[in-house]
Amino acid sequence: MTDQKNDTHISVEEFQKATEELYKKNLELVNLNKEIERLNGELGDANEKLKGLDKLKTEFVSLASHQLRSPLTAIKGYASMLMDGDYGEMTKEAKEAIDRMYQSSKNLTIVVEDLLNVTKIESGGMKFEMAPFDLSIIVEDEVKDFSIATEKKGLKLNFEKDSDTSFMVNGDKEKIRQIIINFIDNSVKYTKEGSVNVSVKNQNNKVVFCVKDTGMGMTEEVKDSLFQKFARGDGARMNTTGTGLGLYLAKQIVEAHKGRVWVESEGEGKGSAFFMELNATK
Amino acid sequence: MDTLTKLNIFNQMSLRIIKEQELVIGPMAWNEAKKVIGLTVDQQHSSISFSGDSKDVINRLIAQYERLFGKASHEVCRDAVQDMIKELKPEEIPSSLK
Repeated sequence: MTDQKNDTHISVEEFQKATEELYKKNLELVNLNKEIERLNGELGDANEKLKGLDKLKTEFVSLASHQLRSPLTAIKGYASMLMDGDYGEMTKEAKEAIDRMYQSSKNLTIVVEDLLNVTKIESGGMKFEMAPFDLSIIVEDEVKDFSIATEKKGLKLNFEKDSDTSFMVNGDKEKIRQIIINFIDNSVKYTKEGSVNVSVKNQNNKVVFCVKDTGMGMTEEVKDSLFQKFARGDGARMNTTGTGLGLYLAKQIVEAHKGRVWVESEGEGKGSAFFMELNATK
Repeated sequence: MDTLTKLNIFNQMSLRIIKEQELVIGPMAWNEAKKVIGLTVDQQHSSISFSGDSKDVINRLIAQYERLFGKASHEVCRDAVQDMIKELKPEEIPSSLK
């Protein structure tokens, strides 16, 4: 018993030393806290500056895009009139050159529109005209529109939907249509042989649109970054057109509809499947 | 510097010292300050009054902390009032802050 008492007893000097050590440790913590507060302040300031820069960038892109749109419309219009022979007959070579010019200005218009849409959605300025509609009807329409392009490439284009099921969703029909076009267009573009299978299903009160192809597929790394801004898959990198904004925009628009988009692929050369899921409505 | 301004500076000094100690040791900083002879702290910890020589009171306050927590606490007191010391003439500075 006595030994135990002696073990726990500490002298005044030891107590004083321990108190001083504790004080020093506390002081270190206080100083560390002050440093964290200072850094937090700096971070806050930097964040504010970044927000300001981001706003400037958005304003610049928006202004530049608007300024580009008008002359582009004029170029496309005149090119179209030249092709139609409004300014007289042209040689075959001249016609081809004008056609290339027309196609390039069309591509540039898509880039400008994409940039404008990105600035709109990021600044919260994108307007959605929400109304209930049948998603399967739009999908079916677009599949029909793509049938010529797929036939030309020697691809099979299939469409499948469950019967006796509702595919009604609430959303901005035209914006959703653009996403459907984007998904099918990507699959057709990057599939050299085989098929593109489009489907619409109703699973647990969610309407799921899917485009599955036998195309080049993708690695996990590409899959993870595909819906990010300016991300481009291997196929897109080989292609000169495209901004890398289409899938980013698709994701932003679908998320604004409280839905989700994702991609599945077994790997390179094994095809891919793009999905869009929206809440079903009556 | 007139007496009133000087008194005010010493008041601010002691408040600054106690608040800086409070960051390290918590409310105990106020309890220890209340034990210092010549120093009265109000309930809300917002004002302080001195009786006697203000320099001596400040010296006693610093000593009170140093007695318990060692030299590190003395340094904390000195750092806390660094800018205020500059406003005083050398003979006006409490010896423990020189």
